[in-house]
Amino acid sequence: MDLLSDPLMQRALLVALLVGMTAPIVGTYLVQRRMALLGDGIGHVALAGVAAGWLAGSAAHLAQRDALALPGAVLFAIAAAVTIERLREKGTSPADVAMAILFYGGIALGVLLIGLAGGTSSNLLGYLFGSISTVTWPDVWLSVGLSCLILVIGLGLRHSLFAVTHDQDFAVSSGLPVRVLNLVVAVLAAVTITVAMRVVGVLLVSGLMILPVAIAQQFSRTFIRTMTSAMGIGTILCITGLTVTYYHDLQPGALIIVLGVVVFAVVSSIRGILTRRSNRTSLEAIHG
Amino acid sequence: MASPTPAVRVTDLHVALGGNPIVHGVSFDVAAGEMLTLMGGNGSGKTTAVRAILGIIPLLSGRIEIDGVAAADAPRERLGYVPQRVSATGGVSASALEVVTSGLLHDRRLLPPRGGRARALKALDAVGLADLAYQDVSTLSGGQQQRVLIARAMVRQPDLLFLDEPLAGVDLPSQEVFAKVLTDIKEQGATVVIVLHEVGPLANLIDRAVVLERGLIVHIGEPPHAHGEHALPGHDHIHPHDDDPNRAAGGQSALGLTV
Repeated sequence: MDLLSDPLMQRALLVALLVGMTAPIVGTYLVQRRMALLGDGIGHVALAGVAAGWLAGSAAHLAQRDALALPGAVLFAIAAAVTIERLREKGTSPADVAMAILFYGGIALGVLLIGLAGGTSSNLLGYLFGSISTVTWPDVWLSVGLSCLILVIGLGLRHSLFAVTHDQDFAVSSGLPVRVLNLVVAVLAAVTITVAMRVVGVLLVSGLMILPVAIAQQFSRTFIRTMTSAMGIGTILCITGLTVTYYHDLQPGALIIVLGVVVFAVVSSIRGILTRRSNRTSLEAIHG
Repeated sequence: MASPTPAVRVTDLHVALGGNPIVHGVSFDVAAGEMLTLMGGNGSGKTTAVRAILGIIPLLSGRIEIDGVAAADAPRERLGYVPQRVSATGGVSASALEVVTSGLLHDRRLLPPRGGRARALKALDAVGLADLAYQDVSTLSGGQQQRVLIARAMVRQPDLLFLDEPLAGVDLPSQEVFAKVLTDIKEQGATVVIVLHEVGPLANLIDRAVVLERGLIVHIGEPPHAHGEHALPGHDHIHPHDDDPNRAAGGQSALGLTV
């Protein structure tokens, strides 16, 4: 019960719960579009946004110099998401090249801006690998608001977002606003990344979006079942990882992702065994 | 005799893919209630033309009208499209029911209508796949997947239906289902544009053929089977368009031929 009475853990658990639940929603759409690494590209630019927020905070002589870090990350991440979507749509650069440009440009810009703000790259470490213990109540409320946005749009528009991510050509022929819906997915990804950044860091944020989906896919046959299962798995992973690190001196973000990888390995192995057994039974039935 | 306002009017359509011109100044009309086939060999531009008509790929130039309205502004509520194969490359499982339900969305309708699930199940039943409604489509056979796509198009109860080589690589049961669906829709008076390599078992349903070769129209008129031919008609079979000789002449002049 110490866990729940500690204000720091209360904040951390609340954010972990929100992130665990919402990250796989966007992750499902990204996996469906085979853009699982989009989160990485956006995350790196979000880091530049953190540094820009830090710079703005310093320039405004705020008592807490990183007070604008999260809003800065949100703005930069959304700009990155829109840019990636435009590049993908126009096809002027291959998607992987566009992503690579954002990867390195984002990191480099972040380090430059944090230097201009009078800090060092070590100030960015908490955002690179996550630092859920430093989450403040304003951060929590911003996370709650953004998570509600992801839940409402990600689940409310699931039919049309599915239609666009499943078969874009058919969606176009149906007259659906494909460009807008693709942008919605990209912006939701940006918002998710900035919310999840404090929990697992930008380097691991894609893992939290994709791993629960990869696990859910091992036993789900429908799109919505995959999404809802992934939401449950993401929540369990985040809460479990955070709880363990309360009692053991481990890095929460890294533990959450490692837990996810282990669960994926176990579930996919079990599925493989069951499939082989089912195939053997079918063969025996055929050959008597 | 075509109606004054054709269901589809294609005028001087030019399309390029990756900078390479594929369709060169194609013009034709599809009358309301007509079943027209776009035919031609591989690379003739028939699929490209249909994808351009539907707005999936951009036009270099030309004009497309659906029911007298520019295609970009035409409502799609009663327009169905069955692609050649499952063009989706999704990485997440999707059930047949979810895919068919997506056919109920169009224009600004971003949510399925009330009773959409029942309509989707009914459409799946019509193609003989009601038992597989909750099955992941990627685990179905090629023919079954094609039937799911037909159900997705039919769930809208289309007045205008585009089909792109629906029989390509499809098993016999699926071909039978398809022939029945097409017969029913013709009886209901819908307009159908169907891309085919050869008319084959659909010969009796087809009203008219537009034959393409290297992106140019080389024949407009009766389907090739009407002449007892197995091969596509040659250039000497070019006929002027029924209603507008100038439109047909556009295709011919590109070939340097005269009627």
